[in-house]
Amino acid sequence: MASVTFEQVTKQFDDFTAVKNLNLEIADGEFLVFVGPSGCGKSTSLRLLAGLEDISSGQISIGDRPVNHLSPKDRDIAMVFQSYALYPHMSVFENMAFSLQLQGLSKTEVKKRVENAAAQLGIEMLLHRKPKELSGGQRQRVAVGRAIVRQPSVFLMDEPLSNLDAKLRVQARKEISKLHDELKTTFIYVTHDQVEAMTMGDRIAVMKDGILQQVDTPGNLYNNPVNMFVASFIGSPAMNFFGVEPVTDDGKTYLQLGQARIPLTTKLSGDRPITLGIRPENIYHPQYLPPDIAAVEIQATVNLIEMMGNELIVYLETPEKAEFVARLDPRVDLQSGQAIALILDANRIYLFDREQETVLF
Amino acid sequence: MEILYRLGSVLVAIAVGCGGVIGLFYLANYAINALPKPWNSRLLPWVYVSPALAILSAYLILPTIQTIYLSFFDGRSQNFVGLKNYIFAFTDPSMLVAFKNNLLWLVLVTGISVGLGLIVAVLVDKVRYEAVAKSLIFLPMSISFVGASVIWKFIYAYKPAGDDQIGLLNAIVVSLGFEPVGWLVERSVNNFALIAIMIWLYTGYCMVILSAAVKGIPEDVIEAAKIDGANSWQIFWRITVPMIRSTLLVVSTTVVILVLKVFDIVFVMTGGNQGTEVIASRMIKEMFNYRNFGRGSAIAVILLILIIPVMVSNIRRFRAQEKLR
Ligand SMILES: Nc1ncnc2c1ncn2[C@@H]1O[C@H](COP(=O)(O)OP(=O)(O)O)[C@@H](O)[C@H]1O
Ligand SMILES: [Mg+2]
Repeated sequence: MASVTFEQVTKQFDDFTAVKNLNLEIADGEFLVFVGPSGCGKSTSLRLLAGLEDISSGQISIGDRPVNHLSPKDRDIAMVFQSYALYPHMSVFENMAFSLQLQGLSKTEVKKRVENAAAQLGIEMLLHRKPKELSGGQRQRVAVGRAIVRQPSVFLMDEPLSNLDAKLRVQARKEISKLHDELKTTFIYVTHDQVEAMTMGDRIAVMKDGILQQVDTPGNLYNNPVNMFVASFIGSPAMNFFGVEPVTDDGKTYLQLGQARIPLTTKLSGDRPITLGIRPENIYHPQYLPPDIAAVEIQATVNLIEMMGNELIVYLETPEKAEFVARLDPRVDLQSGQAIALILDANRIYLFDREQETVLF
Repeated sequence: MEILYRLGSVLVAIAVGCGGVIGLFYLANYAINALPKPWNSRLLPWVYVSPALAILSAYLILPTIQTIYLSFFDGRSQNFVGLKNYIFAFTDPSMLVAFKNNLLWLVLVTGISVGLGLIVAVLVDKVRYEAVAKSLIFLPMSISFVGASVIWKFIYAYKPAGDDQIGLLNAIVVSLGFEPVGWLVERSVNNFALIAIMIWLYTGYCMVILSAAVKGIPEDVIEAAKIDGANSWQIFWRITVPMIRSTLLVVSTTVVILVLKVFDIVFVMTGGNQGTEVIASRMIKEMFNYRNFGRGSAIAVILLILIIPVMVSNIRRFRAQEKLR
């Protein structure tokens, strides 16, 4: 068990900066998820922590021990790879026993620990098989098993579920969360899938182009994104953005969105261009309005409808040709091409500086 | 004029040869397609394979049978002598020397060229100028045995003490203050001197094949081993070597076969004198110097029998490896 600290960590590949000035403190026992689009530097951050890549500048500590100059084996970590990276010539037992044998544990101790770990993951009956005789889901468990037998102080996982089919992934997600509850060790988990991040992480670190955007709990990321990137990355379908103009009328300030006017409660400083964000789930059909919303009507034309059963994902555009998405009540009856009026909840809008893309308040 | 005429005939021969083969296949294909349904697809592969089979049997299988037949006759292939030639092959003192030397060749050449090839393959994987380093080591591979022997004749060249040494090795030895050594005549070293040539020739080959296998090991498996706590030595023995095991065996058996066939180096360097004979050079001597066809054939058959099991295992492994892909 140990905390992990990144201080001003930068990783440079020749003249390309894969990770830039990363500052992050991960508490002992925490489940932290790195999330971001492909190529944003998640794996590199994890590999820096594992010692598989050298740090260009900055410092990484595990517990209160700086590890910059320690080799992977001296960092007391275990890692699950996306490809699982099982040793193909060894049986499942040997795969799991390898690190323990290298530590010089006795045969009986090795056997005991491998069997315990195997029981915990439900793979006892696979111990004598070779990796190529296993299904994808079984391999994934063996890879996790190889990590947990070592009882490391930090677990690192790099997209361990991305090679599983959708159903298995949901199940494996729950199992890893359960494992974290049982082991109470620090888990650092990399994924490009925001659903995985939201469901598993105590906290989520959102990255883009090698730069950490925001670290927070899933709820806070969803409700209080710091910029347009985080706002659009968390939540599916993604948040809608509209360019809006502030107008003053009768001493009150409004945001002009096409024909609609959204009253502003807070005062805007300066005269900068503004982008308004609203999530698809905060747009309603007039017949199915929840209580407690600040209703603002907008006009739109339906482009495409996806019936999901529990909800309707509707792709629309405003008369000004701004496209957006709404999640509507499945009882709504719509045809594509139809012109309708929809209701925005003005309590749930986000305002961003259009140039900086940062949230305004 | 003459040369143009010759060039013309060469071109005509190539055209007729290639055209003839293509025409042959074309005709056969046409005939097969004319056959009724189940038969045409079953026969088709044979049509394409049969010319190769015919040539193989004409140039390989028939001579083999002929050799086996001759090995039971006397030197002039006139009288049946039973196993006499084989008894000679296993009892004659010069033959025993050849067997002993061949065993030395087998162990040293296979062991050192494969071992060294493997070490270089693993080390070169981490070198910046990998391509250059590999080309340099692979270079001897493109030299024929005879060419290599000529090069090494200069390295091993011997002049009596007091004269200028033109041989590289003796120049070094003398400059260190020792007496020059007759590398190819001194019985304690001459076999090793010859064996070194073949190691020089084949280490590159082993390295290139093994290097491809080493590169085939996924990077993250090695990284997993590092995280599991293995040092470079443990990664080499417990991950790299087992993972390229089948390639190691194929390379070793290939070298074994090459060593069993070796004669050119001995032939050029020492002519088999001073106790440097090997089985194949002995065979050439019996066959072409002494014109004893019976003995020569018997030795050839023994060589063949020695090679067959290695060959079979090599083919098996190759198949097993193909299956893994
Ligand atoms: N060994 C390397 N050499 C050069 N560039 C690399 C190397 N490893 C990663 N990169 C680059 O760094 C960036 C981040 O990579 P990575 O951390 O693997 O992204 P991801 O967030 O998808 O895991 C990518 O643009 C990648 O091309
Ligand atoms: Mg990655």
